[in-house]
Amino acid sequence: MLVDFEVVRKAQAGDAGAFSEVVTTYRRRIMGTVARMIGRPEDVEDVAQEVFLRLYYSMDQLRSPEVFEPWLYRLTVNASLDYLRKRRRRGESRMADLSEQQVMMADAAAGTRWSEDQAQKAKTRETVDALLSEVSESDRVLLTLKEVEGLSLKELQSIYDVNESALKVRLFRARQRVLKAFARSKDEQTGQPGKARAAGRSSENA
Amino acid sequence: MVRDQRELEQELDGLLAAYRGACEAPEASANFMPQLWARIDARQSSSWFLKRWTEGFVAAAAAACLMVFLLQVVPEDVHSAVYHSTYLEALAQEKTPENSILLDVAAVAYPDQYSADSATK
Repeated sequence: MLVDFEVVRKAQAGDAGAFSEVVTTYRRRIMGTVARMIGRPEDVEDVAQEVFLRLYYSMDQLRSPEVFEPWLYRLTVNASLDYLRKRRRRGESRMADLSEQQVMMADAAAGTRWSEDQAQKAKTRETVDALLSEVSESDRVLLTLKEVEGLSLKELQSIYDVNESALKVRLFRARQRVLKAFARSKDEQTGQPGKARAAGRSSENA
Repeated sequence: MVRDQRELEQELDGLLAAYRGACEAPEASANFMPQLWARIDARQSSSWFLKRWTEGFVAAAAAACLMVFLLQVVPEDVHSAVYHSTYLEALAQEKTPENSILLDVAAVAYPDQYSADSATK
């Protein structure tokens, strides 16, 4: 817990200063989580503000300050999912949906000078975003929380309010889909169709 | 094959771990807090308006319900000819020049019920 229970209690009671303290403390963490879940840096701040806005208006529904963090994560998950659904309705394309060349051109147009390290990071983001686009928005968020954020099954249980076995099944299926897409992309890269895909298939049957 | 699969899974795990590092939390802009409070205030004022409107609507609906209830409950004037007579009988009790013309017409149509005598009663 990054803040004292007392601060959460004060924020619940309507203390604006305590609420600001909560926001300032969790802002960076929430923005990082949102960034990994939505995969679009320019909208991260907007979604994070939406999370804290929802937090402000639902503070009175929090049963006890002990469950504050999972509850904040739940708000983050819901706001990110809403954003992803809205974006799908609008039919917007992500950077991951564009080809590498288009991304480079977009970067050049923006006048950005990328170091090698940044270019590598961008490549990783692009690859993982493309892999995660193989699963539904809700599975993308779930996988991100488990595999990238490193949340335990117990923490996920408290966020999603479902039993462990249901979560395991969802995670397993989502991971298999991503693994299959990964195998496919590796085949395309190496030009050896079928080798990695067969491995992906065997993991699916396992 | 099993080794390939394990390698693939490990590679994927490595890629996801690298993704965490690649997606660093962006720095919040200086306007983050002022914008957040502005959004909170905006929603507060719109919800205040909605609350006021809802309260007004509920009060008007309650008043209308009360009025309908009173109209149902308040006993009607049981002695009034309006509720116990036909239109013409009620008319006969009102002695105005227009009524007497109408009663004359009624007397022609129904001589047994509306004779000149009953009209003068």
